[in-house]
Amino acid sequence: MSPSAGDSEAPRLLVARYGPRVFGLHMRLVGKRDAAEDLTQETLLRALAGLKTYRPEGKFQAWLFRIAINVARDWIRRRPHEPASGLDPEGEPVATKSAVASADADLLGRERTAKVEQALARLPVADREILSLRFYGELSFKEIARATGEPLGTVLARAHRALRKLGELLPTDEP
Amino acid sequence: MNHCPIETELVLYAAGELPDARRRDLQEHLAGCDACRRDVRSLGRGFEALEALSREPALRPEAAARFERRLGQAVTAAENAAPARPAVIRLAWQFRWVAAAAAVLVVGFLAWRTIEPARPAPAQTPREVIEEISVALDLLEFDDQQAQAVARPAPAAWDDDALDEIKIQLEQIASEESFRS
Repeated sequence: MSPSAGDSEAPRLLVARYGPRVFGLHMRLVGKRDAAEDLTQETLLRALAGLKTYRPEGKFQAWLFRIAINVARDWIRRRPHEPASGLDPEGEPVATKSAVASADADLLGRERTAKVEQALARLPVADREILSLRFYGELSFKEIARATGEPLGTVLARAHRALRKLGELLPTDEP
Repeated sequence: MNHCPIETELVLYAAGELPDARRRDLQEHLAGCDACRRDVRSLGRGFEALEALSREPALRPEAAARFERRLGQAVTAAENAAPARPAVIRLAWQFRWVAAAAAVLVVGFLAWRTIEPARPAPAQTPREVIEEISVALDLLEFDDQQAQAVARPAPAAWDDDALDEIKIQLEQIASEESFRS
């Protein structure tokens, strides 16, 4: 269920339900916590304003993350000289800063988490957009193509390249 | 399926987004193609690597509180910016449910009047029947008189000779009557 425009609970629902994922996407794209928080707030504000005209034709999350991508792109476009690395400038992996991330890190290993974050940070922004929309927004590749405005073939080709790079980080059971 | 599929199709396969029929074809191909099988495994590991991240990184509490406060302010501002309704509309708006119910009743009544089957007229008392027939006869008589008046040529102007003649005839009739009596 998505929040509706007349819902007085909409701000709380938006923040509680979607804030962390939207923040995760922005963190992955701009790499700066303060900026990612500002962009998250901007995304949620735009979504709140858009709820009046929102028609539930597709997934609410796809609509929300389309807004998020546009907000992030605007930010990156305004700062052509700032590298959007996807890594916190403090050098600490973003995910390991949270309790949830710590639990994940315990399971998969802090080292692996850091490696994945670094590998993602090295990817071109366009590739990072695709993997972030897939991971945080849980969008299908068709929805990602719609959100980014790229042809599906281009999105899949980028995903192929980016996923293979990430896949090299994990040990293989083949000789 | 003997030829290797394009790499984009392998991504859809690894993501579980390939249509069933196509997926079965591709599985057949993978059974006999090491290169494609390796590619699919590598893509699968890429998806797996992503799972090392936290899907919902925790927001700092102060940031979450700031978002809620800012969004709440936006809601209030939007409500205040809404144009005020004139008093009459405000009043009508308050009683909109009453108005809606009245409208439903009116529409229902009109629909009932439209589709209601013709009912037999209520039985008349003998007196009413007689009165009705009398009125009808009077009307018929009146109509007949009117028709005759129209059909009859207008009488010619009476002249003195004609009157004298009528007088003479009337006197003759009177004398004959008195003679008989």
